[in-house]
Amino acid sequence: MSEGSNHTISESDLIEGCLRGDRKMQQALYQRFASKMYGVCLRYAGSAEEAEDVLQEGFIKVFNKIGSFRGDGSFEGWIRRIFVNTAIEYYRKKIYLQPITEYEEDTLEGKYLSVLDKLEEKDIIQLVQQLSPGYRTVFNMYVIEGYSHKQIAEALGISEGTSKSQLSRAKQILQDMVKQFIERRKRVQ
Amino acid sequence: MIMSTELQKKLSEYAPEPPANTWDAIAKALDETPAVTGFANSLYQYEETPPMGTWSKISMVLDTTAGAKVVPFSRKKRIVQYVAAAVILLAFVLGAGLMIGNRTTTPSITGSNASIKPSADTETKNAGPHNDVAVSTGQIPNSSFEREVAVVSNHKENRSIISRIRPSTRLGNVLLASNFIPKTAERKQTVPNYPASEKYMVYSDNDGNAMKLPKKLFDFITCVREDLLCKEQMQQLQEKLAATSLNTDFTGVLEILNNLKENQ
Repeated sequence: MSEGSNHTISESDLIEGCLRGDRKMQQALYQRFASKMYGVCLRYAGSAEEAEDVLQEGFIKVFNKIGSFRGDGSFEGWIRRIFVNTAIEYYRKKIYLQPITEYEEDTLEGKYLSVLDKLEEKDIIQLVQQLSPGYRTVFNMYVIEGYSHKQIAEALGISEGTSKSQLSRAKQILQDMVKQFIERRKRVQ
Repeated sequence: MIMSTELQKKLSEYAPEPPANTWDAIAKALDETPAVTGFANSLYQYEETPPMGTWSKISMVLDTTAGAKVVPFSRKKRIVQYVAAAVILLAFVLGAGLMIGNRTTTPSITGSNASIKPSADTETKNAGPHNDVAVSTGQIPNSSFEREVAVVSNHKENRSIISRIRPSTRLGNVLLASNFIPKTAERKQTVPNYPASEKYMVYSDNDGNAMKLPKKLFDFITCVREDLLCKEQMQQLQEKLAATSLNTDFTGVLEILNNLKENQ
């Protein structure tokens, strides 16, 4: 099935096909959302191999749970939530979130974080992947996905304060990494 | 109502001046926020083609999970297991029932074989002539004994049954039928309690005198009409009995009877 013909299939047909267990429809759904979801997986994963594992696990969950999609929100949003949850589950064992001293976000220098805008996504993802699973997860959930600290706390089973302090620490570490990255690039140029 | 309308109008038209530094704060927030949301959005929208073999791996996993979802098969298997268990249980119950049944019937045969051993003379008496014999009450109205009598062609296998016909064989004038033999026999735990009327019989002599005598003595007091010798002996016996009737020593009577028997 080509990608062009894949996009001619309506979302409801895809869902119905997947509900029937039609393998072609499942493949069509995979082809439609694989790239986006792989992007999500890369952000949460520590490496491309782990991202592939999460992608695989996530799609299997999608196909198995597609009957629970009620059509209230967007289908893509529903799939994305499944992938985020799958990634959290994948790293749950590795995520060790210790409450640390809370940093006021104002005290952080926004200089290097704003530089992130000028970096390519691949580079940013490489930097994010260097964060420890706990920081990476909170950073992704809060900054990229737009979850509130309350939601993150519920999802990860931590307090809101821990979520905030983890985010603050993640930003600080990421800022240092951006600084080093820029300096390294300057040296190369 | 009028007052409230005026109040609503006043409040809706109320437009106070915001604080002077409000815009600065908003501008600062706008400056900072895009710095984060810019790359956040780009990361949110970021797409990358996954490795080539990913779909085949997912498909394989879906196939295996679909294969594992053969729920009806496992249910059938469970049903078969339940049925097998029920059959085994039923067989066990039936077996136990049969065992209990056998225990109640078997001892009547084995026990009788073991406990009731007929005397040698019974065996020798019954061994030959009672093969395929017929029942005949003869001169003796001994129906209750006849009902109890059972003889089979192979006496060695049914010793306990042979022992039952002992009373009638002693009399020596009972014929038995092979078809009278019951296929199964139950051991009599107690000695049959025959009523007095079956143990004794009323005998009338030639003079019309009636006597109540035990049936065991029947041979000693009755004779075939033509047998004069028997009649003579019988008369002697009666005289002796009459003579010893006053004597309470019962052994004397038995002695006389034995002598008579030997003389016969």
